[in-house]
Amino acid sequence: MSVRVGLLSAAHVHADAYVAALRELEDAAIVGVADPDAERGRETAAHHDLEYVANADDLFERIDAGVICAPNAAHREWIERATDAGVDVLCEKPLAPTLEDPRAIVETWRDADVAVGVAMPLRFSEPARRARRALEAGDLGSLWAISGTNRGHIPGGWFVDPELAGGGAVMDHTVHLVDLVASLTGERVAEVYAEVDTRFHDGAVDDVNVLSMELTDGTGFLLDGSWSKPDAWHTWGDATLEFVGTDGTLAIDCTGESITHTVASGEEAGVHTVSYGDDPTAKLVADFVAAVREGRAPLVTPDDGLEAVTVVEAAYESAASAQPVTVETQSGANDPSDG
Amino acid sequence: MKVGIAGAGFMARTHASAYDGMNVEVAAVASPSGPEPFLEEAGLEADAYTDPKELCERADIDFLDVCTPTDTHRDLVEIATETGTNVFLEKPIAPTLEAAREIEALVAEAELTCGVGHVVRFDPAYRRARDCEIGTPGVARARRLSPFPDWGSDDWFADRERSGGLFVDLAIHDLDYLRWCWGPVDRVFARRTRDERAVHGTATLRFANGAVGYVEASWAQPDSRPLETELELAGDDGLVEHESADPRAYRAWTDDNSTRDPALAKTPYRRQLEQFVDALEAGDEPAVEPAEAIASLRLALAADRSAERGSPVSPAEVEE
Repeated sequence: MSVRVGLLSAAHVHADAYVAALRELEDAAIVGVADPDAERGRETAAHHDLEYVANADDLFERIDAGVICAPNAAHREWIERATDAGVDVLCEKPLAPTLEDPRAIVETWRDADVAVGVAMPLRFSEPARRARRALEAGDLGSLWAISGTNRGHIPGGWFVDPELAGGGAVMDHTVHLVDLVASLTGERVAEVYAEVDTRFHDGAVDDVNVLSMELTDGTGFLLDGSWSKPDAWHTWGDATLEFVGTDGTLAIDCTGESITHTVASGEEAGVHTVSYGDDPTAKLVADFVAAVREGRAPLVTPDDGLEAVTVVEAAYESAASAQPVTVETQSGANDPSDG
Repeated sequence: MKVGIAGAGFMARTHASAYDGMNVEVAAVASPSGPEPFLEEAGLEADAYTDPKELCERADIDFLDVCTPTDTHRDLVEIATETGTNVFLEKPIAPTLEAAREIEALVAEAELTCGVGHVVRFDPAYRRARDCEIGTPGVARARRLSPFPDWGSDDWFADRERSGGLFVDLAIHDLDYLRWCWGPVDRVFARRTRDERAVHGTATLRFANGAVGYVEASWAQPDSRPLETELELAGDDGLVEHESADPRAYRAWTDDNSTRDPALAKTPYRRQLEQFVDALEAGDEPAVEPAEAIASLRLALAADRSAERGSPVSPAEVEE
């Protein structure tokens, strides 16, 4: 029998990708779309030839699992409603803004008998998986420094609304690589110094996100997660990591396997990047659906999500004080190397 | 135009090859161990000295080109100024602010011309990047990664008292360039990991104009990864990107070897030295005078102090 899945809000730009990934799976069926914004919900449902379900509780009764594509500030409520209904969920990242919300989510998740996954697709990236094998084999010797980029376009809509997003580039573009590095190294971020500002657009949230971090083993970790790529750039952004060790250097470009497509005319005229690499989102969704079916936890769980948000909040604190900030581990967090 | 070169190592070779083709005669070379092997290898018919003071006193030169370890710069400038000789200094100007200030004072008092070789300003890619319109500056990214420089005599790069270490010797290339592009820096936060030789470091920058930048410098890369640099200048109305790895202008392969090279008719070193020589001839200012080099040294020292202290440092606070 198929896992019955509902789309819980269509606010996130990744909603389309989740629908496409779910449709590729033989053991999953998409039941419908719920969204407090009826117009948005109807539009997404129509676009994918799905049913819009006006009352989310009605949808909960008809599904085994949901994918939460709500704005960050609404994640907690969606997760609480889903767990109350006994529905497993995959939640977009970051887990939730502030420390209060993600902590509450972790508590809810621990007390409930449901699977909750956090969407960290880079864990499923093939370049990252190969890096994990090399790191685990000790190819680099002792790790000295990590340098990462997760730049992007400035997103629109709720992403640049401080109330709904909880922040700007720091909130949006820190957690992917912080989570991946924690998972790959088995260390977590112990200290963060942040240079944060709003310089690329006139909005109310930050778009400059340059973080100088140190892991628990002393490894330096520099991350540029700024929204610094112009809309006219050839693709949405990037995700790269470079590890420098005593015995070697290893660099991955998670979107490096791509071809260049120039469109000559029409609305899409310009130079575009077309990925031919393995799709991490498809693997993320497949892992979640398998977890639901097998009654196990997805690869990335709320405690991982909470750890990443803790770094985000520390970064904002550092930016406000212009001093490095110690990142406290959240009690009960799993060893990040488990993933 | 005649030049005397102090030093007979890697940088002396680089400069000598730049002078070849310019209207500049290498008239004399001084090196403590005797420059004869260097002269022979470079095919130079220059007078050989072991003592740079003797070179300055006896050789008929228009300027002294100092290609020696950084800690010797100050004394060589003193020798040059005592003999009324103009001087070109390899970067960095000196390993300490004190020595750099003495250099500045010596050439000012002697009313001589002194240029400092911040060669990245003459790399045509970096020059073009600076000229590209990007709107209001946002984030600058500059990386410079290489194996440990093992070509220094007596391994002087490994002696931090002599070279100044990673930020002062290597990161200063990009610190100077970014300062040239975006102006003064208010605060620096740096981290560094090192053993006796290898070292890798990063520094974030907050410019006075509000922009943010970061440099990453490495002398910890494997031998199979020769020097690579990367530059990105992002603004609110544009973006410039440059990577030095895998140049495509000239590539050649044989069964045993492969070549990937830039094809520039004039190397950045050549362009830099041409500007200095032109300035000397015209009585103009060299591109980078001691005051400019000191401002960049101060920035590098701020990174060094920040990495030691674990807190941000303002370059203006650096006093030694």
